[in-house]
Amino acid sequence: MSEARLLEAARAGDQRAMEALYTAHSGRVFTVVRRLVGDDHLAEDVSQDAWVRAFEKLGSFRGEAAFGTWMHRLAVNTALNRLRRSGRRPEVESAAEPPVTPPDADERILSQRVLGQALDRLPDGYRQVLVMHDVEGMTHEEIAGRLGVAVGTSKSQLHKARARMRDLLAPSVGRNEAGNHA
Amino acid sequence: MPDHLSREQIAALLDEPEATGTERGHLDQCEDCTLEYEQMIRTRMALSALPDLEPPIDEWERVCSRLGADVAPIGGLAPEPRFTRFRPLWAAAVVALFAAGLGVGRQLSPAGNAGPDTTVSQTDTDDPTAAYLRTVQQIQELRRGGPTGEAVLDDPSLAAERLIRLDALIEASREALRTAPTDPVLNNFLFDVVDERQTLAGQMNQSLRYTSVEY
Repeated sequence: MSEARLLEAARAGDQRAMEALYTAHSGRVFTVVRRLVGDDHLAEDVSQDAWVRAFEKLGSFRGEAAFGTWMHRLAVNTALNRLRRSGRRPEVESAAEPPVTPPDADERILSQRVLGQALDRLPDGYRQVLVMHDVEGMTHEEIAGRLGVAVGTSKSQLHKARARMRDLLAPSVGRNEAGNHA
Repeated sequence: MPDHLSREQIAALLDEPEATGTERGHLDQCEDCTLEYEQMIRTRMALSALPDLEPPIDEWERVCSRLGADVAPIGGLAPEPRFTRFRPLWAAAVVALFAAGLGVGRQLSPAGNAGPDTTVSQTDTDDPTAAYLRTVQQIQELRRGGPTGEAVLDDPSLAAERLIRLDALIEASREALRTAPTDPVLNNFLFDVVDERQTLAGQMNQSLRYTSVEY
């Protein structure tokens, strides 16, 4: 069955069609939500919210974009709104955190576990921009629109986020915050 | 000029490979900063290659419960997920690229002029270089397949189809990168496809602002 027919059936309340849409896109939705919010329990709530909202608003989806694109946008917006409301963590941490893994100059391949840990430990503002730009491939214009900030702010946050990721993954020897020799 | 660039300065240079000026000049001359720059590129590549996660196993039941619907078992209706229609072809192509191309190196950049056949043929195990070149040509043909060019921007369904093709190719490339994360050809290839996707998504996003889709 084509996606257009599935959508038509889902709008009419056909639960099997809804389930098919869910099955096809649930992994992608949960992934982007989890990476944005940085917490398993919150991600479960937000992902669930996104799907409930999607099915409640399916009538407003007119098919100009693929359902996956629409659902992805909805999931990102739901996650960002939740984080905005919660104000869970300050934009910038006050104290430097220890690295998630011992520095290893020979390490060329970062494990997914270590990367995930480092992502989770970023301040919300840094993580959101880093995930949207470097993981999801969104432009600074898109990110700025979603977050309600200037494009320059998005760029600045991204650069700080990348730097913080490097701090967490492998603090350099002899390099301080200003970049001068320690 | 500082003794070293800060990580934030280096992170900014990541998005401006063509930049000139004091900071770029320092980067070109400083071994430590160049090493840090390369590590940052690796981190970015690793981030873009992170795999999708599995949702909670009871998520569908919870969604149904909140919608006031009866719970149905997952798998009752066989969907035709759009990504998976393309995934095997792309995955086969990229995996074949790696099977044949490891060790061949950057000099065999993906610039082939493939014929019209878009199927992935069997790898020639007797001649890895020839097989590699043929696979690159085939991947290029696959990449050019489907809607392309200006027509894509005039038709949302064509744009969506192109986006899906690019997404499938990115996924397959990331999958292959997990096996060979430092292969220069695949890294360049992935960068190109991600750039194209980013541009297309931006254009689609701009178009969507004028639609009535609401959240």
